[in-house]
Amino acid sequence: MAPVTEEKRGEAELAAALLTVAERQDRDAFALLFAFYAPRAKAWFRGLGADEATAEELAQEAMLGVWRGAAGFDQRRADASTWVFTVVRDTAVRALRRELRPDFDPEDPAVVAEPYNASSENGPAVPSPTGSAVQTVVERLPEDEVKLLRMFYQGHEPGAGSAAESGLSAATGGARLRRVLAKLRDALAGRGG
Amino acid sequence: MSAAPTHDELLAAHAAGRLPPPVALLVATHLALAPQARRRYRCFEAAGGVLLDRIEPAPLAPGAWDRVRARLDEEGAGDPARPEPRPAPAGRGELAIPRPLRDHLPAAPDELRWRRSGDVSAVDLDLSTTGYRTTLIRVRAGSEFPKHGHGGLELILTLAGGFRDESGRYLRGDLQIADPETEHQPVAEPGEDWLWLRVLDAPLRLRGPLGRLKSRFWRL
Repeated sequence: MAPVTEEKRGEAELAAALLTVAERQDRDAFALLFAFYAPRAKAWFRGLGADEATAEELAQEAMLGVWRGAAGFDQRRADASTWVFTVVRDTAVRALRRELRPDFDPEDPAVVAEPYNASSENGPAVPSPTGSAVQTVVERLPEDEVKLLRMFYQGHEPGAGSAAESGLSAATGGARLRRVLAKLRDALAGRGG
Repeated sequence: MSAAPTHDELLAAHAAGRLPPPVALLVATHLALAPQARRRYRCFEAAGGVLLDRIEPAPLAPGAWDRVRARLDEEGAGDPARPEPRPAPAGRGELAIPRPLRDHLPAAPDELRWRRSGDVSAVDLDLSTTGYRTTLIRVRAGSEFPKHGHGGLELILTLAGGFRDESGRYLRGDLQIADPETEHQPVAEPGEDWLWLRVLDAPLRLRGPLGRLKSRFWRL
């Protein structure tokens, strides 16, 4: 029985499903993830300018990326949707721009580590506070600011019909966007640390 | 009015996968060296997660689940193919270039084909992206880098040592974003040589015969 698009799923359920896929390649857990994320991934790719067929195919690719890479999901670093977002993003970069995305490697001995504290990577395995802190910030944003943020993330120039060509100047988003980014960046500080 | 992106915008654009490859390379390397920037960056990735969560879902084509299930059958046991991290380069002293920059160097830093002009040595990295120039530059400790303005944006990531200019002091891991209006005179800090990665958003009009007439700086 094919899974239907899920309207809502909580973070705990999605994270648990990812962990189950990682542990034992559980198909029921993956079906849950597919029902929730595949239609959203497809919508994201459409927002990047992909046509219907390409977006459908890329959604499949992204979900396969989730299946293959689930062992890389670390609850201390990110919550489930954040991690899936990175898979969707990397799928888009590979496919639509035909290049590999350069990323820093947390295992690299040359990485400058954060000073040890209880919530660092070396600390106990508790879920990352970042996800819920950021979610709270976004929930409080007026709808047009959420839209502004999504437009920026999807590469749209304000007022343009489709995703703009990538360029350094396209990384600038205007004063209003900068205020939104500042709120996001301060999310952890706002929670009292 | 400045067209330069802010630090937040660069990090958020990188979280969104929107940066051109040379800039993405520089920002990712910056993240490896700057824990505070990583914390900000995680907020921007988390924002991506919330946007994905909240987007209006697009209905999948009929049979989508069957197709992906068939692909799972072909896959067999999932094998997360994470490449083995290369060992840190045997550079001198504290000099350790993190990934991803290290992966894009054709040789170890001391074995690169540096072009030298006085106190400054430079080597261009070929990232096959038109409109950008990516250069690794070393300035002898205490020396000046020639005063210059630029037709486009300049990103400076300090990898070792540091520099001072009109806007402040920058050390290992610091990222400076300079816009077209800026003219600056960086001076390398005393002690360790200043090693930095520069990405120029180079306007096309500077190429060709006119480009060859530019100052000594342009060849560096």
